[in-house]
Amino acid sequence: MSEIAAPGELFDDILAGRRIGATWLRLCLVMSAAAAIYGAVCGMWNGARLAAYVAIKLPLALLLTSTFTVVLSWMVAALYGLPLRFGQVAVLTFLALAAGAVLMASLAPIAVLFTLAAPPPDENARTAHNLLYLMHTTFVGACGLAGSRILWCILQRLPSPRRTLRAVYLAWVLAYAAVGGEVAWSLRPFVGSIYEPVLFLRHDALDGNVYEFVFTDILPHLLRQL
Amino acid sequence: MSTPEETDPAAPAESTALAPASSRLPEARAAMAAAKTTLAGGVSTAKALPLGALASDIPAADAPRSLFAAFNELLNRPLALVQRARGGDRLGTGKLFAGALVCYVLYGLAAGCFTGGQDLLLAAAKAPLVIALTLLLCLPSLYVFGALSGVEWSPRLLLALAAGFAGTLGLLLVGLVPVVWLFSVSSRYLAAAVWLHVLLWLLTLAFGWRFLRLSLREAGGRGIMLPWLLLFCLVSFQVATFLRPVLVRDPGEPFFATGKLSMFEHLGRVFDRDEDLRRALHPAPPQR
Repeated sequence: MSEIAAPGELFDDILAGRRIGATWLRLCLVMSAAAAIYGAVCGMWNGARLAAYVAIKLPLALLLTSTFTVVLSWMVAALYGLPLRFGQVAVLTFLALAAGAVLMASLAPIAVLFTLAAPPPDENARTAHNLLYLMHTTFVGACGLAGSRILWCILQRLPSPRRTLRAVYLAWVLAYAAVGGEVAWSLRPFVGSIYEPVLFLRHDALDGNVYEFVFTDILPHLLRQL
Repeated sequence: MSTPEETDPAAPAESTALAPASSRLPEARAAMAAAKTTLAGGVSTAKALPLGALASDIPAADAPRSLFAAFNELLNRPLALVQRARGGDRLGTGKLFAGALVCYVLYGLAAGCFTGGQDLLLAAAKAPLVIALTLLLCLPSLYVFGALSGVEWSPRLLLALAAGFAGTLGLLLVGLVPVVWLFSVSSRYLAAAVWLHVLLWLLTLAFGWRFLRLSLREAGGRGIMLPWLLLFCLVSFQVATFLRPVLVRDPGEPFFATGKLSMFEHLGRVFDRDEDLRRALHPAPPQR
């Protein structure tokens, strides 16, 4: 955890290719622990069972997002000529999300406050549900983006032109966002529904992706309101 | 996006003229030996050299001995292939073509997860066919476009460029396999899956373009080859239509559909097909 707060030595180790395996393992543990804390808070509005489920699912979502994007991130870096080996890119990929998870954990007390202030989840609590949903989405998105800044810091140490570094950074962040959104959608519910029972995964977890939902459900609904 | 000179560590500083590899082989081997850094997996690469010094300092390394080494070279020193083509050394393009084929099949398998079952094999067979046929159809125009832009072609150079381009596409596609699998198993609409593949294909071509631009510049080309890439892209869409069905095969539908169809009509049919599903999932409110 302290490595993420004061990452100078960590950066040196990663760039020198030292202790890559051990660093990756530590990052996985930090990411899982920190995301579990926030996950428990995220699910607690709907009771202890969903809190326990989300304490497992949020770390899982981050681990899966890192896993799905690591090969692509490595290839993008290599094609742009960055002197990074696969192990180094893997550590960087997990580092960004671990930093995001630590940030999320730091916001957990605030999320607890808003969750405890919300009315209990029943059919009349739609506004509370939507507000909590919005808060968690904002927290997770902002923390993910802020966590990715650590990548930018470490990329700037590489002996490559700034434009190249910016392009690689942008590609990595876009990959995280696109894949992370879909992974989180597949692993829903996180906040829990006010209409449906608490489940670990929905029966339609892999039936329809998040972008289909946005373009065939959300946007047409909004356009009809105009 | 960055210019190739900025992005590629193997980009030559000024001159593209290199001495034949055979005449500088001892120096080259010495330079390679000094530069090699052993990776954790036991793969060697020339990363210890300063950026920008590789292509000019190391004329033409030996052809990679394994498939992995060939792809590793393509990623880290994309110009090495062109330099070998201009010398007299063994090119090692067979490994690149074979590896690219495997990558296309893997991508096809991931894409086939959209419907699963027999369509897994359908997409796994069609994806390599689409790319290979597109490459074959566009190779003559690459030769002519390249010649017009100043490339001094030789059969070896054309082969090297084709293999490098095919390999780069394969590399990117195989890197996208986890992402494609995720979206394929979770997408409901065929149009969503098609758009996903179109977007990823454009991304892949952008990186393929980077290899082509660097290589053609190394080979003396000074003109703009972007029109060729646009042509390649359009041809790939039409080839996919020609070889349809690629992702989904209706019961009783043959492996290769017959009848003329343009890519635009094909895309329209994809949307029509989804319309029924959309109506079923989102029925219109009853008329009063």
